[in-house]
Amino acid sequence: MGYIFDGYNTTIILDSTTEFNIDDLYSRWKEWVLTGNAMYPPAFRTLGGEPISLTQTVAPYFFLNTIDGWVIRPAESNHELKIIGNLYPEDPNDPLFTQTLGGYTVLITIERSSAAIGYEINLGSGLSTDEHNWLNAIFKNIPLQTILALRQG
Amino acid sequence: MALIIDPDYLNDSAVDDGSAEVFIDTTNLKIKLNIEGYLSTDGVTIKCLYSFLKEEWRNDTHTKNLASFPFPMIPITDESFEFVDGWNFDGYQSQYLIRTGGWTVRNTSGNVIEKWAGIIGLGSINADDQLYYNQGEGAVDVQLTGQINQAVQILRDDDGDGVFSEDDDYDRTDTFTIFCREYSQVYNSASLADIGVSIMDSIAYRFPLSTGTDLKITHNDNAIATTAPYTGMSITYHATPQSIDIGGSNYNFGIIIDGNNGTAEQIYEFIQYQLRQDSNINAGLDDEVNGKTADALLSFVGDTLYTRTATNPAGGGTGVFIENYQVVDVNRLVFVDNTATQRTFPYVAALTINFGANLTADASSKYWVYFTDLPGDADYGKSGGTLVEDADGVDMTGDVDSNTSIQHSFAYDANNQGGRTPASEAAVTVVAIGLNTGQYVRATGTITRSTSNVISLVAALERNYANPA
Repeated sequence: MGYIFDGYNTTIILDSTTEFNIDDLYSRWKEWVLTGNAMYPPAFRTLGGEPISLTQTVAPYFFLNTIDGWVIRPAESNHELKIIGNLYPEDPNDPLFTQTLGGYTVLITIERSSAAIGYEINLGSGLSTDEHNWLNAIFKNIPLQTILALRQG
Repeated sequence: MALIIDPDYLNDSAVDDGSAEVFIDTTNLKIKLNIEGYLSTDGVTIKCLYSFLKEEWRNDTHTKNLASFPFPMIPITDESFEFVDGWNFDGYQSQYLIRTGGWTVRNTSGNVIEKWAGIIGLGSINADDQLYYNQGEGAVDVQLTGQINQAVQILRDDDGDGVFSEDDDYDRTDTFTIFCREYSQVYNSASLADIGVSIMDSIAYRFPLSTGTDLKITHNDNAIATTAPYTGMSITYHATPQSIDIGGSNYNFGIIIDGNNGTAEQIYEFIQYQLRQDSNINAGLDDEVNGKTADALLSFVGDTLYTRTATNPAGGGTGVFIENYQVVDVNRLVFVDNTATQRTFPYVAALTINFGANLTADASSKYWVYFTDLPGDADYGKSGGTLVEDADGVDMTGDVDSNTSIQHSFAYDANNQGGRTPASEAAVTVVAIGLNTGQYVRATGTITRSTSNVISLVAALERNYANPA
C-alpha cells in the first residue's frame, strides 16, 4: 500500500485498493513529517502499545486528527477497502474518510479489535510449536492430487 | 585630636622650637604651624587661625611687640583670606594643615604672589582611600587618606609681575580634577565643570566625591596584569574618528577598547585596572595618556555596560567603542559615540528548546521552529509555514542529536520575515518528532525581548511505530 500525504489539504490519499494496517499508515506518516513536512498539523495521535507481558501489549489506538481537517481518501476505483486496526477520528462526530474524486463506490471495512489486549508476534504464523507440528503432519498425509489449487500470499 | 575651630586650642611659642601649635615669626614674617599640643594632622580652620592671630596681636603673650607689625591677614569671607604686607605661611607643612578655606598671598607691594584654594570633598569615602588630584601636571596625592579637606596652590608668581610663564611660576586656576580610584571600589572624580566653576580663586570649593564597593571587580591586580584574556586587551586613543557599523548605520568613535573576547565584566575590570596606572595606557602611536588622570571609560548600570564620553588627547573624538566583546554580551553593551549619543546593537534574543528524554534518545528525532501568526498565509499549519531564522539568517531546525536542549539566537529588533514587525514579540510553534522512541509533539510560545525564552518539548514514548525490513 502506498500513501500520499497532502499536508496542504490535510488529506491522506491511498494509491491502491490493498488492505493495510493502520500502524503502517501511522509509521509512514511519521517518516513523511521527518522529510520536511513539519509545518502541517499532525495527522495522528496514538494511545496504547505498552507491553504488559512478554507477548501482550495494551491494544494500540490511532486517532486521526480530524479536528485539524485530516481525512483519508480511498483510491480512485470501485473496490472494497479493508483497514485493520483501531482507527478513530479525534472528534467522534467527524468522518474519517472523504469521497473519491471520481465518484467511485468504495466499501470500507475497519477491522477493529474489541480486545483491550493486543498480541505481539515477532515472527512466524502465530501458531505454537505443537500446532505447527500437528498441521504439518496432516499436510504430509494429504495426497497432492487431491488438492485442486494452492493460493499464495 | 580633632579639627581645631576654637582659637583657645592654639598657642604661640616664644621661639621657633616647635613647643606650641603656632610660632609667629616676626623676623621673617612667617606663620608656622606645628604638629604639637592640640594640633594634629586634622588641622585647623583658616578662620580659627585668623581669630587666634587677632587674639595674639591684642594680648602679645610673649611680648613680641606684635602690635608694631602689620597684621598678617585680611578676611574676605569666612573661608577666604589674604596674607598681606609680606606675611605668609612658613612652608608646606603649615599650608597643608589649613582646613576649610583658601587664601591669597600678597607681597609688600600688594601684588599677588600665591593663591591657594580650599578643596573639600563631600560624600562617603573610606578612611584609607588615597585620593589624588590633577591640575594638568599629572596625578598628585592628597596629603592625607580619606575625604579631602586640604588647600591646593593654584597660582604662583614669585615676583608678582603677573607673568606666570617665567621661572617656576604657574597659573592652574582653570584646571582641577579630584579622583578617587581604589581597587574594588566604584571610581569617582569631580572637576570644576561639575561644580559650575571655570576659574578658581582663593576660596573653598566643595566637590561631590563618594565611592563604594564595586561588585563587578572580582579579580586582583596581578591576575589582570598577567593572565588572559586581560593581557590581550587594550585601549587605543585614535587621532582620527573610527567609523563603526552598529545595526546597519555607521557612527564615529575616537577611543576603541579591544575586549579580546572577554566578558563585559572582564573588559570592565581591565579598564578600571588601567585607570589606576601611573603610566601610558594608550596602545596607539599617538599621544600618551596617563591612566590615573585619564577620564573614566566604562560604567555598569546593573548588568549593562555603558561606555562614557572621555577626553581623547589624540584628537579622534570622545566616543568610546568596545570591539572583540563576547557575542552573548551584545544586548548589554551601550556605546556613546563622538556626538555623545548612545548607540546599541539591535537586540538579539535567545530561544532555548528543551527536549524530553524520548526525543533525546531517538536517533532520528528532529525539530522545527515556525512562526505562529505572521501577517498573511505563512504561518505554521499551512504550506507556506515559515521557519524562524536565527540571528545569522539560518533556519531554526535540525536534528535533536541527543541534546537535551538547543539554543538559538533571534534578531529581535531586525527580523522582518514574512512581514513580521521588528522589535515585537514573535509567537512561534515548535514541532519535534522522532521515529522509534519519540512521538510527535508540538508546543507554542513567544520569543520576547529576552535571552531567557524557553520552550520545552516532551514527546510521549513511541510504541506503535513500525518499519519492517
